[in-house]
Amino acid sequence: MTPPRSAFGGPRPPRGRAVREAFESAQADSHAHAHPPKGGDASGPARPDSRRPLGSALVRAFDAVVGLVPRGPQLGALALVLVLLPLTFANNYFYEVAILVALNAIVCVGLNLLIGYAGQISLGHAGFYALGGYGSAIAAARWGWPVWASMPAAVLAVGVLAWLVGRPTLRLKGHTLAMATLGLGVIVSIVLTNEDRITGGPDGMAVPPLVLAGSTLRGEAVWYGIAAAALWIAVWLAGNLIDSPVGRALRALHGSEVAAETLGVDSARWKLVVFVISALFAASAGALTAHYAGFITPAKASFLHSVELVIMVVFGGMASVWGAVLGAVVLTVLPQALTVLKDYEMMVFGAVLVTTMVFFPRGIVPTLAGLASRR
Amino acid sequence: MTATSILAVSGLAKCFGGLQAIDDLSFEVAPRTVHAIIGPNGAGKTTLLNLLTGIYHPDAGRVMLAGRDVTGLPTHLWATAGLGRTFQNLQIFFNMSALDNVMVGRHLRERCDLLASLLRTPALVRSERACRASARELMHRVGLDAWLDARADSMPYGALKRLEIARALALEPQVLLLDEPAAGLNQTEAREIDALIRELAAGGMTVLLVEHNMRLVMEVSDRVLVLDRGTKLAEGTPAEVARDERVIEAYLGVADAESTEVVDA
Amino acid sequence: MGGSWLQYVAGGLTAGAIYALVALGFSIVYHASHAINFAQGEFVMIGGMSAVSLVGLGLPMWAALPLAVLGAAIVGLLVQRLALERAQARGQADVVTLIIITIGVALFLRGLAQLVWDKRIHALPAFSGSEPIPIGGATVLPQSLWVLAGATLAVLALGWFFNRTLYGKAMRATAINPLAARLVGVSTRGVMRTSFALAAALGALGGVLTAPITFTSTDIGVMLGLKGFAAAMLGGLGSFGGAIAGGLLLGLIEGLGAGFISSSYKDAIAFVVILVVLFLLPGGLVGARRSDRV
Repeated sequence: MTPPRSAFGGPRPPRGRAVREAFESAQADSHAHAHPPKGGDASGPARPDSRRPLGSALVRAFDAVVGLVPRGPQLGALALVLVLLPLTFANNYFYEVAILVALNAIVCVGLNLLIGYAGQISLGHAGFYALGGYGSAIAAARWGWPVWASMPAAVLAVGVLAWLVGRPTLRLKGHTLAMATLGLGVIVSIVLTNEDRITGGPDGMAVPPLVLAGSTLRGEAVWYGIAAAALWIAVWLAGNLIDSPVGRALRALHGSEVAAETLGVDSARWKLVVFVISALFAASAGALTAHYAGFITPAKASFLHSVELVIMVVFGGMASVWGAVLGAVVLTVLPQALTVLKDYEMMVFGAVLVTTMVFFPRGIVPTLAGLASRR
Repeated sequence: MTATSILAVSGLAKCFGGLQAIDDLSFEVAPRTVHAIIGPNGAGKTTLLNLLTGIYHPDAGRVMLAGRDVTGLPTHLWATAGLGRTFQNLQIFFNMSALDNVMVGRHLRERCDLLASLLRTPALVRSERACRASARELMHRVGLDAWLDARADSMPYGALKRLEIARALALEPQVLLLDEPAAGLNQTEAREIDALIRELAAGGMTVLLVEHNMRLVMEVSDRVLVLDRGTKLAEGTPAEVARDERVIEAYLGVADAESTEVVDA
Repeated sequence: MGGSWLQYVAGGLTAGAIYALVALGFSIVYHASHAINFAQGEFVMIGGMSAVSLVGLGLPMWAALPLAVLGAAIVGLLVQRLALERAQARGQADVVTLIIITIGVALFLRGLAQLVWDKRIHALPAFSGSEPIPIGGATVLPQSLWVLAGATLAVLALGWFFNRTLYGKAMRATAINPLAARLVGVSTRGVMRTSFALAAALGALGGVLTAPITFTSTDIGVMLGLKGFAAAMLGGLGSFGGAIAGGLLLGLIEGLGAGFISSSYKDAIAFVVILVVLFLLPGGLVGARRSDRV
């Protein structure tokens, strides 16, 4: 077979984004330019997917490994692990860490839908997280709502906010999108810090505990149950979504937005949908964390927290629900385990981020799985 | 405008910076025909296709599809109106399997219900199964039986070209736009595409074909439109166009105007 | 009355000059590599903190300051060389990846800085005294004048470099069409490294100029980087004139907003402005850098 030709008549460039760029160049679009694959700009967030044969082989291998186990058994295994894990806990501290991990994982699973599957970016997701927590805290502490009502209400409110904010924001791409989400997150953080009459200011506020059917839900073991159940539900929902027509449409948008649109996929609508869903996941986790911890501070909305969340998603593996969970696990446990290295924490985080993106641009899980199955 | 045309373009114009890419272009496509668009490089063929799928917005002119005015609609609504297309430079979803690619084409034909998707209702599972079955059938129809379980990024170029066609067919379009479906294919593969196009036309599909491969064009098309620098140079049956002096001049230059044979591209 | 206006304007322009320098750094790196360097703010910090250390070691100001800027430039070079080049070479240089890498670099630099120095706030002595100068009803710190002068000089020097020197033009050429530039012998890698070093130097210059007024600590990088980025976007990424205009405008709006509306929301003002601009004019005020296709 003759070697496939590109639009310029040269040998075919690597697939995916480069092909799309070549396509756009050939369209005489005045914004396209003949650069070899470099950071995209107005043409949209570039796809971290199979741009090189190696990358695609890894993805293929990873999918083969994970795909061997259909979703039912995967979810069953998760349930088993979650139930049996406490047997290994030596003391309360383990429960604390596990709860933290589970709640972080919920945010990551949602964020992964946005970043890994739909190919967008959000550098302000901590804002949704914090608003979920503060919303529920304020409704419960200041307005006297019962917590079992304030939590869902807060989460819903954040969803509405995400919908309102998402419509203009998601029209942007690449850097502008990153900047817009960043700006939104920072604004939330500043408002939460300044409106101290409602929010308690920079020192935060106390959050009432969750009371269900008359009994106060307190204690590590109880909350571990809640967090684990919530995590399982999140993983179940996310997995369902990915395997559905909606999930396919999202992945198609990521693969080639132009082609997806010509097949009838309304990209603006579906990007908004996944944005709102990921915001709902984040807000839920934020609300649960607030009522578990008993207090909340504006630091939860900070740019750094948003960055931490993105790190977890990226580290564990984009376009991989289990990768998102793994990222949360590793990057929540690591600082806890390395309290000795408290001073070095930021450096280590930074170094981890850089090395991951340079050497494992698809994330740890897909890469390691690929290596394992190729031996 | 004829009442029987399924696609009618009138007065279409598009300008990029100082370049008039398409200039006052009008033509009609009759249903169940294969209508080819040819022209030298830079004639504006792909620009025209982009205009016809909402990727570019025309500066002037109108496009009617099956009696509906579709001018200026956003891209995804062109699909709803019944237009499917393939791309000159593959726009395959390499992050998905071949089957998934085709299944995306069913997006408009299946219920894309968010709640059902999140909860994975039995109705959704059934509809997914049906979707998968019809996707498999489409892949079979374009001759991709060997690749039913493959990932898109493991398939050879020729197969990917056909995958794009299968994907566009999944849309059940009224008009299928094929942008250089034979580009980069060798003689055998080009003939296979040729057979596929003829099969589609025989089955009642209206095909709008942009091609450089003259043999394919001559063998497959019912009508040919020749574009040159954004305007219509000639239009007619393949034989008529091949004899047209202006066409020969545009492709081959004045010196060979005496020859009436179209040389294979 | 006029006094407070002028006061806010003066303060705003001073801050704006720093934002402009940071924004210029962003634009230069973006211009060359389409990467957003989220570590840009950290170079401002490195400049200021290094200067403080060097002065603390006994060096006279006229030696410490250029050394601090040079040091930051070297760090910038190392960052490009060690962190980004590899990713770019592998063709993984897409927006999301590069953004995340530079965020990682920023965290790393900040963590490192906290170890090398500490988390306290430090002051640098003013260049020419801190006796406020009355100008038209407002009092202006002499250091503010230094900031404005320093920034202007830097901008002029950059303009001369990019427009009049061969290498500067080569850098601009690389940004427009790297392949063509390479074909005529311009080393893309060299251009990237120079861009990064330049951006770092600009940031550090800002840090050094402003440290006497705003003091410096290892924490200032984040906000400055974000605001500088916002200013660069305001003016249109990749546009040098836009970066300067964006920075000054942002500082002005911030200063006036802090004075007349609310000073606790000062930081939010900048981001609100940015969001408004992004939603209405995604290409920024000056418009995104366009490459014309024939």
